Amino acid sequence: MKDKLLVIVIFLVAFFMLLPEPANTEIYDRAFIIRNVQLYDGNQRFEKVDVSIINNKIAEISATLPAQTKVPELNGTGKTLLPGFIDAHTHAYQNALNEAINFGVTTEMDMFTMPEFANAHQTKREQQDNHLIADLFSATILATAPGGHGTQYGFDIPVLSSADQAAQFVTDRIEQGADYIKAVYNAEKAVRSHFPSISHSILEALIKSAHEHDKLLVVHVDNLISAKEAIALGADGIIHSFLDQVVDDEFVKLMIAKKAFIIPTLTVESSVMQQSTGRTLIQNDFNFRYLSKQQRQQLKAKFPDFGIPSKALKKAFDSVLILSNANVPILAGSDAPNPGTTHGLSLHAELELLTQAGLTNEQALHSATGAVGQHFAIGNRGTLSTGVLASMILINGDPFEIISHTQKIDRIWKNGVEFKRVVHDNAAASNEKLKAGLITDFNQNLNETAMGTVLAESTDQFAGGKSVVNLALIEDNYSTTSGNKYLHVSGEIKTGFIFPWSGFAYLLGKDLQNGADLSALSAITFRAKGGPQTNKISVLLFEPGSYIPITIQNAGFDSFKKHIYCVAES
Amino acid sequence: MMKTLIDDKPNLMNIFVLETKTETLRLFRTPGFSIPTLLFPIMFYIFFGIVFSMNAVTMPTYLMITYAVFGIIGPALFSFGVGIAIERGQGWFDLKEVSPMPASAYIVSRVTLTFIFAAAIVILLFAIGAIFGDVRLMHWQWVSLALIFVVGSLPFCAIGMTLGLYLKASSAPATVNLIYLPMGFLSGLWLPISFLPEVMQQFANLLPPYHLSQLALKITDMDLGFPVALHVSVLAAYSLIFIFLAVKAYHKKDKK
Repeated sequence: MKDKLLVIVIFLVAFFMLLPEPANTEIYDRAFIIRNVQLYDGNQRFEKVDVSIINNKIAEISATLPAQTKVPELNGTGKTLLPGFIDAHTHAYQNALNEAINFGVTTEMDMFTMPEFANAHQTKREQQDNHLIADLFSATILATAPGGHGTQYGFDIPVLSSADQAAQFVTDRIEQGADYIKAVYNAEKAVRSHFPSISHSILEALIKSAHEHDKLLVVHVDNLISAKEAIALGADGIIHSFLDQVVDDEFVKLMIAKKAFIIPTLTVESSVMQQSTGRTLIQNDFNFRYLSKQQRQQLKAKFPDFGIPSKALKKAFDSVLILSNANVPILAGSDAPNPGTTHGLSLHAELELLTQAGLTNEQALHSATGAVGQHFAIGNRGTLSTGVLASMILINGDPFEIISHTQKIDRIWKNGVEFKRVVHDNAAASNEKLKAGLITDFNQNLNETAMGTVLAESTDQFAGGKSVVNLALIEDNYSTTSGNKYLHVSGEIKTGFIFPWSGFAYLLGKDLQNGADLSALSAITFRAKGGPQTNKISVLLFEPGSYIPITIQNAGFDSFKKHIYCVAES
Repeated sequence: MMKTLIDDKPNLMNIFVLETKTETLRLFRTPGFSIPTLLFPIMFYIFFGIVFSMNAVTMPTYLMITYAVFGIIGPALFSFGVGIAIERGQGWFDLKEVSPMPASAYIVSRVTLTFIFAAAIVILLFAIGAIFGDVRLMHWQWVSLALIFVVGSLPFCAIGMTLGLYLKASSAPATVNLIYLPMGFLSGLWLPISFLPEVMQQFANLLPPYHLSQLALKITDMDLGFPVALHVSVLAAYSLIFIFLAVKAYHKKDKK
């Protein structure tokens, strides 16, 4: 009996000792070799090569490199090495550049953000030790008409109403650090015009001025006729494919003659057409772990239904194939973080959609790597040749066979240093259920609420904006009893952040990281009245871990009345 | 052996060992039990995890873990659930009850048996994963996973015991299969849980195999990121509820 037991124990110990451990847990930084890997250098595919990295840069690419003992070696059999992707159309703010690199997007071409955000990151992109976030290039503020597309975010941006303002506009943008100029244009002849647009002559003047300063000018359009006019005037690129009609010969010839490119953004167009790629992306393989709560919300978000006929999306796809077949350069861009898209991951969706439109997998990969640097002045980003800083992605699989393999990221390097992918914690804090009761009668300090932690000032300064607010507890003149105070909120909304706000926040949990359990509550009730210039009140409900409100409720505000806001989950 | 058996006081340990030995022998001689419980998880794993794997790098590891969970649930449900039901039907259960053997021996031997089968399945799956699926884990990860799987079969022993005491001998195999297979699929043991629609993912929260698989996947950093305490408490709650139900059934019901 004892012998048998001993045999079993020896067998178990031997078995577990024999189970294999990972061959190499070494970190590959600054100097290392990747052997037997399929390489796409941004322009060309090599089926099986050795790549050596020395001093953070690609040192040598060859069929077989001599054996090395000084640097760690990584076996790349069955894997594909690609340049870090470039998303040629995003709107970058908050954590955009962290989210991008977490999915192998090491460069973002921003098409409208505030100069303050852009400038900070434009400085960083020149630093070799900037290996934790993606590099940013930015158009800063876009050129649009008063009330045009781009102004609907509710804050004050410079707009153009006549051609003689164009030169100054371009100089101002360049002084603010714009790497290129982006304009929004809708032709007078266009059937659909839901926003006022800059005129033909303003666009002409903008293009002339941008070119005088050696800057590219790209144009956001949503129909073919506007695109034709823009390219005829000399615009360098078109943003968005066409939902109104398939491109015709005239346009293709024009694009070729003017050497112009297009960033089709099929991802955001699919989302506009209520066919978002977002939910599939979340479910695909192991993406979930690398998405923050906010990103998951973005991917699940939907555009309102604009009632565009469903055939429109096919026109956008067909246009891309026709242009690509005519050798018009296609650049991959996601337009993240619009509803249904998010930084980083949505570029992988764009690659998939480009192949669905009919591009080969190699053409799609080129559109997010080597092609971008052939138009935009971004150095050698998007390529992997000797002497280039090693910003690259190692893929478990072969995206030339199956394009979605780009999502099977094994390792990411930025400027020769391995980037450890951030896994987002999904743990829900267990909080006590809040019971209904009085929050405050405003006779105490704002941080002495009967439930929750504090009532505090809240403005977009939190996110880099400049809005201001002032909270004061003031004696109520109408009341006959003394000590009956109310909360007086005064403030100003200023330009500086893409979604500016000014007001106050009520924190129900212990702190910002921990929410509160509102499941036992149905509504929050208060009495309020706006001043002469404020006639609308918005109540936004947030969850910890996300800056995107889970509900927004607006109401009229002009007279003193009771407001009841539902907090129960819908 | 013989000597200890005729001692004045019965040695409890020896009774446990003997009962376990004979039960194990019986089960290995019942191919209707041992072959499907050993082969099903392994067959599925080879099929979905290795041959038709959607992701050659992560899938063999992920599915090795979830099929191990699937594998260890089998013997727990069948040896307890179907086993007890059939023995009740045949009258064996009553015979054992009136024999001088303590009732604890009956339970201990069956739990040990489940552990032995669980260990066998885990060893087979690990070997196949390592050899054919190129699964590479640190030694502490291999050992922790094996421990989680073996100990993790306990809540399912409790569930099995309750089923065995409630079900009729004739309907037990079918009923246990009707619980075992859908529960495995809905808990994300056959395909990664993130592949299932969101509603099903929410539903999986109610199922104990989902929680056991999440605990095990934590070892390889492949879980969905929910706290350990949540998974452990759900499994503990299931164990307690079903032990309670089993005790109730044992005392109340006509055991025929």
